[in-house]
Amino acid sequence: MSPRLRRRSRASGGYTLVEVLAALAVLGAGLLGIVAMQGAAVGANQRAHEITMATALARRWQDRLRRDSYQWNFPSQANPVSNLNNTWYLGQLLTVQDTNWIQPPSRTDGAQLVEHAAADYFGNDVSPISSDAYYCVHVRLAMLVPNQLARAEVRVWWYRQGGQRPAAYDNCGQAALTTMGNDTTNVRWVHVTQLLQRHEL
Amino acid sequence: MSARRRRHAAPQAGYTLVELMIAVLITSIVVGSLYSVSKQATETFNQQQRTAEMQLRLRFAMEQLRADIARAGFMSTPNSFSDPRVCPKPTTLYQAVEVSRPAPRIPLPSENRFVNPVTLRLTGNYASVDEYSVAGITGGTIVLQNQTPQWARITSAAQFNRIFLGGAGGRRLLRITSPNGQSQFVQVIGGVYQTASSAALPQLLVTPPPVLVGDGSSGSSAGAACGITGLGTGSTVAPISMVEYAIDNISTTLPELYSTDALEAAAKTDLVRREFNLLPGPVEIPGSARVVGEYAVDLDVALAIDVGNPLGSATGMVSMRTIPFSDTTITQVVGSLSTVGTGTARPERLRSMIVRLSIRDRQQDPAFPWVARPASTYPLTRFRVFDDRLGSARVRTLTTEVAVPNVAMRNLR
Repeated sequence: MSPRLRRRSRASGGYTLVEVLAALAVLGAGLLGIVAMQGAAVGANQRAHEITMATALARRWQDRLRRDSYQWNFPSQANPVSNLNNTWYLGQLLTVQDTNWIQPPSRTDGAQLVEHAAADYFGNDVSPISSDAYYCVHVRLAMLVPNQLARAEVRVWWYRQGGQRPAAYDNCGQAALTTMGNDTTNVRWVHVTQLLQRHEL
Repeated sequence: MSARRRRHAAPQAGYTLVELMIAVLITSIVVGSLYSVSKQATETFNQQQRTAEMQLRLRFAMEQLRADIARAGFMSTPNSFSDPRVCPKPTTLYQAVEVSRPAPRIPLPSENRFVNPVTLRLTGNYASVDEYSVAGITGGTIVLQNQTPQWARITSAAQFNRIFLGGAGGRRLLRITSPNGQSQFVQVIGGVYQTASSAALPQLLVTPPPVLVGDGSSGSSAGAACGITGLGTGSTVAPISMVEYAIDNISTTLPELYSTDALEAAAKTDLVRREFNLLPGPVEIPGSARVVGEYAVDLDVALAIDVGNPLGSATGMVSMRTIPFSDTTITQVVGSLSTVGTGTARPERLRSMIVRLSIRDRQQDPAFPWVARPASTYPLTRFRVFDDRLGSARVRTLTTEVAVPNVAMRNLR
């Protein structure tokens, strides 16, 4: 028996199919790891870029609203009528105490700078109904002390890679402003809050 | 015989030439593909690493810019000419924000169209967060109080020198604010430091001697009512200096930040922050140049300004106006007061500044093809560093808006 065995093993020489498959599996796993690592690095950088852009956009809107509050000067002793509607974005506080989430209106100043509640991939303002809109902006205003102090919240959202895109979220979520805030599976959020004071003249 | 043959055959057992060649072929295919996969993985890894680094550089530079812009006019004036509280007026004009668009300091390949960075100059108290109380003023000597919480924060002569002189031999501009609300600007030419517990009081030597109320004959612009009340008691002083941002190359002063390859070093541009003393014209403080954003290629600003509605005009009249990026009319608002003329530039109207900064990858990637921008509105995404080499460098751009509360606070229009 032993000579036969020896003979057989000598004749077949080399590796069995199982050995080759095992080796290939190990090699494949290694290669897959490398490829996956690349994918992960690209994805992580992409997310980092998105978060940077969204944070910059949120802070940009924060300062837009702050700059807007510089136009909110009355009522004061000299002028008893509120001039909140001289502002670009804070005017809604004239009629409501708390606006809930709204999409700030697009503002144009003649042929000058145009401000929209959405930005494209590069962070430039685009209309919220544009197909280039990548980041969307919502704000929520609340009057804390009448005619004096308001709170302004800004949230910026964009779709997660591979997330669903519910139809209600089209046009920067115009139809889902109050409900979509809970959705963290399909979109990512950046939130900022600040206080705005009436700017005494 | 069969046994002999077998014995004979055994040592000779091996592969035929064909088998060997197939094995070599397969091995070389496997090794070759392994090599190309790992080479590509390394390249992607390096490129992603550079991208992440570029994004980080951009964020840090933007943070520093934001902090400095938000501080423009801090404890100073938006426009010393039009500010009614500045009295007497200094003959040299001071402005919180100045934007100019000089010829590029570093010539770049002309294929990079529409890249025309601005130089941004911000004036205010960039040396401390405090105003310091005055005990009295005699001629050109300002005696300061040292029993104040503000003074307790100055703990050494070196810190005193840094705040009031801007370094050894330096001279800060000093704003003196009187209890009557008026302020004026003088030059610090020396000082004596005293600790908070010292019986002797700290002193600042200034020129010209501050104008007191009643000194009207000394040429003050608003007559005898203009100046500091009493003998200065109750006034405060704040050191004023200027910060400049520009796309520049400072390889001569900070060579460690530049490549040893002369071509690479010459092609590198950075966002450089410098500090200036106002004597009264700007004089760079030696050693103050800092690289805030490496490989920055473009810096542009847009403005939101308040053109003003007269008090009591109908509500609903929006007085906010904007000036977009790369607009030449920007100089009519924040151009230099001394060259544009006091009638045109109105930096006091500025309410917020929209800043756009672009930073490039540190390498020109041969695999990232060069495409020229068709129009200035088209985002800057590729940058040509060397026009005689393949490809282009990736560019990341961040836009942000910074309100200028210290300018807005004065409500000048």
